[in-house]
Amino acid sequence: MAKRAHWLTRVVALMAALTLFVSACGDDADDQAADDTSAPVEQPDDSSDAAADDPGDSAAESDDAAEDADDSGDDSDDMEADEAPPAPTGVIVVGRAADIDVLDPHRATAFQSVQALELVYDTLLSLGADLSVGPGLAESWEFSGDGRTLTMHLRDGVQFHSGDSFDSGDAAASLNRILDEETGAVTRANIASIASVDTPDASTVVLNLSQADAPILASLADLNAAMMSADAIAAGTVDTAPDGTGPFIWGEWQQGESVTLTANVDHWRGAPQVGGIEIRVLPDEASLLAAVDVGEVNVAVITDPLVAVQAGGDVEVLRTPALAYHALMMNSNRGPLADQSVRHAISCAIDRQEVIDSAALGEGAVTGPITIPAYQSPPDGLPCGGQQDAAEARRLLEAAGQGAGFELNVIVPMFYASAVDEAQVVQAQLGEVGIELDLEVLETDVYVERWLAADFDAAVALNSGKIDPHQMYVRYWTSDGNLNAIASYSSDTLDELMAAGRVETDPAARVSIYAAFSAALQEASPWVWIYNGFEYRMLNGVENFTPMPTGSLQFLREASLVE
Amino acid sequence: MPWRYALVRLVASVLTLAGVAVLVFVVLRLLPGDEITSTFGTETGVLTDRQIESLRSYYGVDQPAYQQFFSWLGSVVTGNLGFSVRSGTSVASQIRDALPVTVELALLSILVGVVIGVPLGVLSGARAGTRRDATIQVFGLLGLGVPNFVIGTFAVTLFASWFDYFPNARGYAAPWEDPWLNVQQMVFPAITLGLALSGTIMRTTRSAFLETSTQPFVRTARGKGISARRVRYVHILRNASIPIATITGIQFGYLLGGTVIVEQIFAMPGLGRLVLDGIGKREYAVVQSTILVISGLFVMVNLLVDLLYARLDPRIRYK
Repeated sequence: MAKRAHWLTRVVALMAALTLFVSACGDDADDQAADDTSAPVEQPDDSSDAAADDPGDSAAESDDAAEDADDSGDDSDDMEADEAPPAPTGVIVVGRAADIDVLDPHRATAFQSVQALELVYDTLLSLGADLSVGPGLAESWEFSGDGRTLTMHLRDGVQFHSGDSFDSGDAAASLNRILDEETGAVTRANIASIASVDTPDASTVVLNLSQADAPILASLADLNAAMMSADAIAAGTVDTAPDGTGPFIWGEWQQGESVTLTANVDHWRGAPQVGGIEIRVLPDEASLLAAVDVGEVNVAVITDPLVAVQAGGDVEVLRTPALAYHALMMNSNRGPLADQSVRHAISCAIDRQEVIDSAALGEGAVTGPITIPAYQSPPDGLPCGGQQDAAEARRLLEAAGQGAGFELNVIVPMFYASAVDEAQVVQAQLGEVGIELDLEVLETDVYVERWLAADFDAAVALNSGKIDPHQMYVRYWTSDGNLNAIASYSSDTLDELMAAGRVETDPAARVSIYAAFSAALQEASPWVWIYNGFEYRMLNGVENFTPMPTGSLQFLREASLVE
Repeated sequence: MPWRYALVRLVASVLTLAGVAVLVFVVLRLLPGDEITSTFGTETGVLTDRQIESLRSYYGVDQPAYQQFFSWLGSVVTGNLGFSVRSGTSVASQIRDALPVTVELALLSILVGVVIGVPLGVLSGARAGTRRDATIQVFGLLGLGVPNFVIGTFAVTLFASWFDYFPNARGYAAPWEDPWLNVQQMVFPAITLGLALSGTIMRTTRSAFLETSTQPFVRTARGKGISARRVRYVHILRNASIPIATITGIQFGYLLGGTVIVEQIFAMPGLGRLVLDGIGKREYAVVQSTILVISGLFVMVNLLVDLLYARLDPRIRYK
């Protein structure tokens, strides 16, 4: 009996022994830690082998290094250093909470997927940090006099990572793939004005448009219009093996863990400043922030303002006002909401600044409908000047015969951190004027389904912005827009202004058209635009990185590790 | 004849798993949304009907539900756990990557739980009603009551900001890739989970201990002049070990799918996260097959625990 008595003890001892064994084995392997296991060392022949392995590690301890690194000398001239490019080394580690979900850029909508694939693919046109549309794989382009033909002149000598060269055939194949309904491409509606694509020669693409379409340029600068190789499309490998012309080459995707990219030293913009990028998944944002703090992650994408405000220590915080906006969408087909003055009353009853302060710790700014810097809607154009005016709200409700108040069913998503808090603040504010909100907090897919079916009186929403007001709102506020049934409001004025903005190519004229559009939209107040927050990028050990209001990480192509 | 017993248990296990398979399948289909809405979100609204139709066939959700079930079941029976369209990998390979992470974490957590919980349970059971007992009980309640995301997040933040130490931020390292890093990455999650377990194990040990110590053989042993320590750890604990083994086995099974919060905080690509992501993305094959594997392991662990009873208590015979 005594002998058997030790059964539990034996198991425990065995486990302990195993652990010890495992940890003992590790001692010598200590130094080749995760940082460089995935570090792709790029070929170019230079003699700088000695430095090759360091940057990855030094990034980890960069807090000390950062002070003595008098770096300003080397980095400004990287663009023209074409003849003798220094071999890019080191790996920038990007951390974010969510793993990518699809590899086909024509179908990618999740930020994490878009922002990873943007590093691998190029588009015909590209965006500057100020969201202006500039040359991409097309060096130049022009519209015909009637705006119905768009001719694009492609860059010569561009190659896909697989080695195929890029020409007009690839461009045509990519555009046709998007237009083909079988593909399920998400930007199809945005470029549906393309009636046909001609390729008069290898470096020219002619888009024959069914109508003049100025904002198509912005759509062609979007990852969802990425240029793929015609061969890859034909072979059907584009959803499993990304092959672009972009600054980084697709390496490996370890699901739930990381994506590794290596530098494309032959990129037409010049070689990136690092040997590669690892996008690492740390699902918990508080842990992610800790990872930047200790220097294991160089660039972190944080979405929760409650986490972002805790950044300190060695972490450099970049705040970029986001294009995405927080709104209370209303269903103008339902009950009292059909009345414009009721919608105005709701808009007046809400203290937007209080929503920002309590739900997002003050991290954001009151905004009207258009959040694009060049077209920004002034917040004082909102009903009641964007200020809370409960007395005016009550007066409007009284006048509309709704003085007794009413109840609204509100769907609230769980997919962003501040949604529930926002909903509760708005609930309290509207309660003051007699409008009771019945909040339904829903899991993402449930929310999406209810939203798509317009099955709500009102919806708390964080809506992603676009780089052009046409792209951003044509789907909602034109009577034939494909989300108009959900937006549930349209008017001749809005239709006309949208149509005018579409054919207008003069930038100044477009600004005034969309200003008028924004004013008309705020007058009608089908939604309550509340605020836009920030895109947070937390840096540690990285320099020359430019964040964008879209959240794009494309300027990692210019970023370098701090020596 | 234990073989007969084993056979009966085996059949019961297969039936259990079949039940789990059906249940998971039905629950998944009852959830609103599918892989298209989870991929495109609100952008689904801009897709044409034909685009949606073609995507449905791409993601394999265009077949009637019963057909999807039997084609999945058919391939599972032949050893093919399905395919994740969006990542272009087989579900089997995803499970192969995630399983060792979770099993290692679960074993280490159980180890922590047992090492802390059993001695504390004995110490508090041996002096029931004293201040020591009360103190230990409070600890047990804390272990049970403090959610592990609080302990986990606290540990991460504390060590990162005070000591610049957060090994999990370096990307998960398997024990065969980098054993030393792996151990460092496992320590905190295992302690986080183990603390919670130790509360349960402590309380079970304490009550089993108290119950056993009233038995006549304990008085006899004491009367024979055996030291109190030996009576406690050999005679009583031995006879109190069945409930402890049971609770430990159940907890281990629970950990196979229940470490998800800790996996999130410590960025460990285990089974819990595989299922959670799969549900979020409505990847039916991933969720169905992974839960089936977890259930299979759970059933197996329970079976092993039952078989162990006979070792723990020679009076038990299986017929």
